[in-house]
Amino acid sequence: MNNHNPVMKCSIPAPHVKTLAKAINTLSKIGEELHVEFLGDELVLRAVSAQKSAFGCFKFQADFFIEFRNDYVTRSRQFAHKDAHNRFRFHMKSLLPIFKPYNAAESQLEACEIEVDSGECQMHFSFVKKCRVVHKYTVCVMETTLLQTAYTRKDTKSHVIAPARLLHDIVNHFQSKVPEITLHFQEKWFTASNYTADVPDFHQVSQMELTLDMEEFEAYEIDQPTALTCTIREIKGIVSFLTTFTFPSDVTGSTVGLPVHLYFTEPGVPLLLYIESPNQYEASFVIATVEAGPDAPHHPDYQQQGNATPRSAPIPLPSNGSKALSASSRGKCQRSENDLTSANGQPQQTDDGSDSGPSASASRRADVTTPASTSVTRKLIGYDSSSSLMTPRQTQQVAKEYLAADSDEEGDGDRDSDQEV
Amino acid sequence: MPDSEGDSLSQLPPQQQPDNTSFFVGKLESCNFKNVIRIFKSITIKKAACFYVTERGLKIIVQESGNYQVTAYLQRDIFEYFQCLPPAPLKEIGFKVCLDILLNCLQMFVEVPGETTTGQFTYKADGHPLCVQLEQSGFFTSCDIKTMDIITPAVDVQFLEKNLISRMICKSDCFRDALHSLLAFPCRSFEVRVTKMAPYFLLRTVCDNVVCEVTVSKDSDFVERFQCDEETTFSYRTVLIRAAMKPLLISEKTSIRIDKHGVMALQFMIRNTENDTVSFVEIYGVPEQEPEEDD
Repeated sequence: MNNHNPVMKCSIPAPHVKTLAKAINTLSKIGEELHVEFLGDELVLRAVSAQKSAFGCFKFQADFFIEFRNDYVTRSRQFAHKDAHNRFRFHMKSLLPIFKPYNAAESQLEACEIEVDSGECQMHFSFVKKCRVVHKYTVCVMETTLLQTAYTRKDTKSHVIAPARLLHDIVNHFQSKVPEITLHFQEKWFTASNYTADVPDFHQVSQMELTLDMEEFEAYEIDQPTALTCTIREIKGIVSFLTTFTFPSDVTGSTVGLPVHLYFTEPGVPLLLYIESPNQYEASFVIATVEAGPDAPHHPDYQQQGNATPRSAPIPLPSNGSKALSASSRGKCQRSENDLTSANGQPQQTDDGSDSGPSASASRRADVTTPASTSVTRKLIGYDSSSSLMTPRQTQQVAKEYLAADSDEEGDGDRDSDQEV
Repeated sequence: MPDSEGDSLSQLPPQQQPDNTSFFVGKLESCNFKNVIRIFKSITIKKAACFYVTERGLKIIVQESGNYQVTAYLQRDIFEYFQCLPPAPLKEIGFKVCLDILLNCLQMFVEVPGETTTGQFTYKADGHPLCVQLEQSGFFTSCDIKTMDIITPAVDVQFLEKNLISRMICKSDCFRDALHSLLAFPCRSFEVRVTKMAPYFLLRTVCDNVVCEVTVSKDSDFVERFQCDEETTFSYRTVLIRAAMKPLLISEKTSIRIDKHGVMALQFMIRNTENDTVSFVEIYGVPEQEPEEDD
């Protein structure tokens, strides 16, 4: 009906196409669909996981592009946020193959142009190569509503800045089949361990722990010691996004050494990860964490913050520990050697000292040092499956409450926050 | 059996002497031998391949009926010794061999670094096995591969220059990239459009909700020659691309020709960098009947 459909168009220089491709790849690890929005002079990509337990958002700013045209802004700036015509939704599987060749450096590429034909509900991705060759993909778009989180950085109390390399080492320390990890932020040190409380066959599970001194972080401001349990998949995606720019020994990328900001408050409240490359893009991720039950036995250090004595009281067992559990499998929630000390001489792990299950003999210790001269402790210990902590499904429910809330948004001014389901 | 001959294996160690009665003898030097293996690998799409020997060289045809035909040409020059003695009225010798087995035999020594391998093919007469003799640092190996008679000869594609309506010769890199993009989304067929005006050369696939188009301008540095007598649009099965991918990867230049019936001939020039000889692999594809018929 309107011959002059508003045009939304942007052109990305070849060196930045890889960043965009990696961003889409990272978001594909979060959700099945990609939400694209032309917002003012920014291109915003978002994804939310199917269970709404994780949310990722990349905002590409003007300097990221060669050219950026958004008619919606020039026409009616005040309605831009209310209008759904600048927002689109795609299936990841129709976008990923398009950008797959550009995850690696592509020598023939000159620029990538993204153009929206709002009249025909199509988005065109043109990869302009050298010598007048153009690869163009036309993808049908679906309408969408605004996708945003109700939880922002302002709502958090603790803030930690981790270098990308450190986060990479932490995450890759765990086996790929480990679904969830627990991050213990202590006053002086940090521990990451795999979350094993929900595993049905506990005979086949090893628990790993990685302890770092707070000096390893660029900033370490915590309100109170916290143990956050969250899925590792999203963090891995973010780390892989960062490491492609940081590690392959090229100093040319602008994102070298880009640190990751972690914002959090307490268990059960989402963990926020934030990356910023000034004037180019910023990325934020919201990841649901497991809510700590009233009797959460999760980590001894968390229970006994600041306790300097190597041997401490037994870990309180879950109150429902009596349900059909044999004596041997009960009461070995956390078992470890008491001679393990961290770099600053403080205890890393305490012994529960309760009954001796078969796991006691299986306990062993292997000190591993990461390239970043980090003191790392890896242990194999038994655990109790009777923990009353939440299952991943419960995690998702908690997350849903946060993500689906209709309140103020993620720092984008006055926008409506209709949540799409 | 056509004629009685001595046990070929017992003659081996002295030297692989070409004998003057065999229908076909082809001896390959080390660097050509490696190249021939490369070409054989690139056309191993189906098990059986038809070998045709003429005075001009060796022609190997692999055919997928109704879709495409792949032909590799090993011209006489690349053989150190070449003998073609077809029985009286015939001008060519034809036999069918399992390409996988032949390739396995040929590759027996190739992986050893720093060693040179020479090979010789001998086909004595109809019904005889194809004898492959390899020599590496004084070690001789002889393999006899059973041959089959060609009962239904490969389709003789009449690709006449006078019927040609469009032609493009381009660097293989460019064409390979284009085909890679087309294969990103699974679909049954692809469309080739050649026009006199921009975009000149266009490859297009349509799958569920993604349309992929690759355009190459005739002014591109990749394009060596562009000719369009008539605007053409034909659809071909994607299996053709998959078959073309392997020879395309080892080739230097690609020629794309389409005749007025829509038959597409993709010709890949494969250069042997060690001695600067070239060989060709050609793929003929027939267009889909009516691409829009189902809709």
